[in-house]
Amino acid sequence: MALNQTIVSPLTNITGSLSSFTSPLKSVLQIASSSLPSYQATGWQYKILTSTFSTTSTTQQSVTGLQLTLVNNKKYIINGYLLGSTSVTANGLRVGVSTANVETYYAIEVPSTTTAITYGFNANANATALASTELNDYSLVLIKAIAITAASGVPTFTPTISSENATVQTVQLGPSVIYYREY
Amino acid sequence: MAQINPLFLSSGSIRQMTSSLNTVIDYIHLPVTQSGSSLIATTNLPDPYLFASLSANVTVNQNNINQPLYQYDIPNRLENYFYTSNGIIGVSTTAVGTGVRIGLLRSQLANTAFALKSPTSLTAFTFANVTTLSNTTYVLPGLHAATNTIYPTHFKGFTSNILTSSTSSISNTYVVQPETNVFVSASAGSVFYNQFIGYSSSLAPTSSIPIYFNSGSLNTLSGSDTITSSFLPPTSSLWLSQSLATSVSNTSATVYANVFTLTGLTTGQRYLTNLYMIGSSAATTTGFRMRVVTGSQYMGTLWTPTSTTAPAIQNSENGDNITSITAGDWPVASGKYLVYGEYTFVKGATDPQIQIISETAGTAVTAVSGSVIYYRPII
Repeated sequence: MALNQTIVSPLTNITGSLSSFTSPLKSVLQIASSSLPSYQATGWQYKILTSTFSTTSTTQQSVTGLQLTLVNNKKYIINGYLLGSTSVTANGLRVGVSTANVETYYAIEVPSTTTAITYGFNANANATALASTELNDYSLVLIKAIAITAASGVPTFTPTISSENATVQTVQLGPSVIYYREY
Repeated sequence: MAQINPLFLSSGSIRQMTSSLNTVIDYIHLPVTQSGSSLIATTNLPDPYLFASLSANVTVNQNNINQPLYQYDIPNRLENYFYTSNGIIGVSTTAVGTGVRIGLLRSQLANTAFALKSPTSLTAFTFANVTTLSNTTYVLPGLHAATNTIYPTHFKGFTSNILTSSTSSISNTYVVQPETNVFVSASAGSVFYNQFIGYSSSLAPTSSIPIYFNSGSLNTLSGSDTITSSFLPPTSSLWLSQSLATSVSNTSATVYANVFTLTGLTTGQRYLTNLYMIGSSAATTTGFRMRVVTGSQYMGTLWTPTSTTAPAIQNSENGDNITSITAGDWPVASGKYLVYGEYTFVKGATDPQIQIISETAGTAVTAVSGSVIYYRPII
């Protein structure tokens, strides 16, 4: 057995300095731009969905605003915090993942009622129903994944959603985030 | 009252305070660098975490009384912001007939959604989805399997003001409460961590970074409290990771095979660990068993698939060093699935290890190359 011990290095090449302070309550410290630290973005990377993504389709639809375009021959940790919603309690929000040129292993935790969470592994997760009764009420959907990208082709990792019921009902994602980093 | 020790590691700074409400106030406010339409920014901070932990047990014995554990405030902001919240709270009860309620009190419902997973036994959770419009504030667990046994409650949250466009401050407070009038506790070592994700703004550029400690009408500390904060240059990387270069298989049902050994850790230091293992079993009737040998004060949970729709769960038990998944069926023979865990531990005398074992002698279970564990020192 061989192990690769690697250091995930989020704190390299930081320059500049910040001040020290001892503060009572209600203090605001302003730091001039001349002393701004500069950081190298080698830690977590983020993808934020700021506009609502809705569908009435019963087949999985790619949430392109959360699509990750990865680098070949790399390994990634991926975490997703998604706000999901459905128009009626009897209609589940199905959450899955679509990939290209990536070997992916993931679990999705989808709230199915107020008391249960549905898990999926390497497949689309099918929730039975969200607890929300209106589209503006969101529940948290969690994605955990590792992705190992291929040597060629453009590797992508894209969350997908669909509506559970054949009867047209709307499901949607509200503000959501995926963050990821190499390992 | 417990002391809360927030450790803001992203800039190498350490803040400590004692508060009647165990309050931590976010003080990051990144500069707006562009004007005009909404700017989506990946954070400029290299590792924007805010950690806090309970340094003493918080105990309460009245079923109509909340005892606050941790309060996280975000001051009023002009920009839209995005945060994730995570935590592992150790809970225990003095009577098996009484569950431990973990709750979340929110000043603005629509800005925060949470998923809470609270144990009812070593292998089962109750769940509560704290939705953006729901007034649900409590996990309502059933009976605990044993008295005076610490079980982990996990919570995950997402906070953003983009739905409401509100610039008002928000406050989220985790609380503990017994189901009946007996003593229950949230244990020392419970960990909370928030991660700043980013912001969007259409504001005009600014040339400064205001760092808020406490602002406006926010005043959740007592007058005698003081804050000492020092921003130090970062001295080392904080997240460490190991990836498995070569798959590890085990056909034994009695002897564990080692997958990861975490070397170089500091004895007595608490660490937060996330395990993302690619697991496989050669037969659907053979479970994938795993254990974590941490040294001491293990608190957390391991999840492994038993079908495509349900995981097996193994929680920690009273700070034991070893946790093992004992269940059941594997979804597809030789299929590879994610096995994951989230836990904290305090480094003991020996190096922590993650090990696997087969449920059935002669049938191989495998930790596949590419599996990864990442961990960092916390409070």
